[in-house]
Amino acid sequence: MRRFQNPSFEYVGLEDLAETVADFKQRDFKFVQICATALDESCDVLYAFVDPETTDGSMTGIMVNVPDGVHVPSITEWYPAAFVFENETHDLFGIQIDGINIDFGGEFYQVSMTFPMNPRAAELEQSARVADAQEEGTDNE
Amino acid sequence: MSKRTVIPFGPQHPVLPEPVHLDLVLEDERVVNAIPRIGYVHRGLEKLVEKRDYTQFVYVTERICGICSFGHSLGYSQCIEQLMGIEITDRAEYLRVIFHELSRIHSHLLWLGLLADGFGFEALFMHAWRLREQVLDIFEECTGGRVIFSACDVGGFRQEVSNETLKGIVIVLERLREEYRTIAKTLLDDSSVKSRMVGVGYLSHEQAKEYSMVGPFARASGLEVDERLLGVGAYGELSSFEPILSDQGDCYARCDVRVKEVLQSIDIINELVAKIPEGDVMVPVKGSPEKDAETMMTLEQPRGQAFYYAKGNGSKFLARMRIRTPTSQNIAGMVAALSGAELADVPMVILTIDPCISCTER
Amino acid sequence: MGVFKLGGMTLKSLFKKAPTRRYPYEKREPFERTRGQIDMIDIHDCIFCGLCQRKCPADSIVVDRNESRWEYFPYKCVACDSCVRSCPKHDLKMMQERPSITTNAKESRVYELTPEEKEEKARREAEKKAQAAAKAAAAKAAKEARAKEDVPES
Repeated sequence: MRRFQNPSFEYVGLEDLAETVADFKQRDFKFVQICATALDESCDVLYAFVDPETTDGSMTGIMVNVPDGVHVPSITEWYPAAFVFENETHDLFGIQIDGINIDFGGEFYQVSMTFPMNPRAAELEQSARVADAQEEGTDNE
Repeated sequence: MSKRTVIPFGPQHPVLPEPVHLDLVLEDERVVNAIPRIGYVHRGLEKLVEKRDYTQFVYVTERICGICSFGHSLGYSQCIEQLMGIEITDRAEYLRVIFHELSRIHSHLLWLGLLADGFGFEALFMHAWRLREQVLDIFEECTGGRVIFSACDVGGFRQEVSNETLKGIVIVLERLREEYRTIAKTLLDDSSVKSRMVGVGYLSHEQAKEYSMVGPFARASGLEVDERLLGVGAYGELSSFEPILSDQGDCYARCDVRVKEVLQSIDIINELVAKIPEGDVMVPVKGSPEKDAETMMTLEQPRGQAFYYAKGNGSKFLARMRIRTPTSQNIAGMVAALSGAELADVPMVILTIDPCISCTER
Repeated sequence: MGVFKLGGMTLKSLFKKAPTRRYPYEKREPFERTRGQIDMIDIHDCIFCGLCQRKCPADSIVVDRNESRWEYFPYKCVACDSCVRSCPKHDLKMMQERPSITTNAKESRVYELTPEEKEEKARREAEKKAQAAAKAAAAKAAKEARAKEDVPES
């Protein structure tokens, strides 16, 4: 009796993420989900896909390590259904993602704390507010 | 140039089983766009992993949702067993699948009642939930709880279910099959039901593939996605399994797929009860997951594919537990199905998607 | 002709018993395995190991070893059956009814030994400790005596 599935994990640098996902889309991989884990100094983001060529249907996972404050490119260009997970990752963990096709700007998941799943929520909120103020300053000039 | 108005749908609405908010952008009674917002039932259950160790967390996963309760405890147990390399007995695998299929029958009966209630056909709602009471009585007799079973655990299945009880379950389900067929035919063969559902909320095969949809929602558009085909556990012991597909892609096809799935589940239970082996049902579990060990797996719940990811810490608390439910994957498809529908059809389209929002938000 | 399709079922239900129950005049017999709340069988069998407290996912049992006291909060309990299974003395049992209606959600059920029994237990433990200390001292004295005997020989 088959009891276990055999997932495989691959650690990828942030700059290679867009290329890898575009390659997966060409090879017709199915998209499963996106999730984040809060570590001591950074966050780990896991993108899970299913390769249609495998015989037992096991999943392929790409892990990307994202330090605080670094922006991540969105994969909704290739997989439009990912906007739910990217908005949720931003609303719960504070990871900045650029280029989501439907970007709610932090209003998708309505909870009372900002970034509740990330222990460094206070610093992230502070730096996000500073970045916004700087942007507005340059726009006004 | 017609004007656009925005009408809020939810979070309180008579057809919704759980609260979700949709802003419908209308142009003269036709929906152009739908903007979802969630977060009304968020309880932060994934953060509770820091406070409850991995043997106590199975009770938390059971309480994520009342309809898919057994599915979540089953997925969590299988994920931790895969993480720690624990092999359970054959009898426990069979019992888990039998109760999971019973859970699927109960979920689809509940959905059928809600659909009939959305039409205004309350008598059928009562009949469907009366049949569901027979399934809930089976659950209470075998495990002690009607909705929350506390039966599946890391290491197997907690309650001993004798072979006589299993044969009794088969007899109850055979009696249920005839009444269920009468009820379902009454609803689906009616001409007014057909005129409200055929051609409404159409999604083609290419759209289903592009939006990565799962579950009966995708199978009604012809996309063959079913995790039971992987053959993990006792699903691999079935003589044959074909997912039920339809190529029409509208609301009527989705209802049709779900109605036939109940009959398929009754056949699966009959086959497994005839073949179940003897033996123990629990295996003792010692130790904790290793540091930085991680694994992921999927499961076919009544609403589609559910995903589980666990990461160990070295201690008896897990570092991370992630549960992704089928409804959150289908939100993109829901938005696509709603565009082009009329305002009066919106409750029908949402009911045929079968949303379970408490699972989406944990 | 939808009205005639359910006609057979509707006509039969005119003559069959109603599927509903006239609660509270007719109550249903609970099943054997129904889970409601737990109860302790006998406080004298309890060894106050605290396993039930550690296994409980809802923090509804409080065990105090020094005071010989076992306290249970029925409104926090989720009736999961872990404590009943993990008690090494099989001293807990699962009852079939949920806790009765009350206005105080923090009420608890307490079992503890009477003051005379507590004194008796403390005395017995002190006796056992004294006996063990005496045995250890005797063994130590015997070892020293044997060591002194060995030294003059060599």
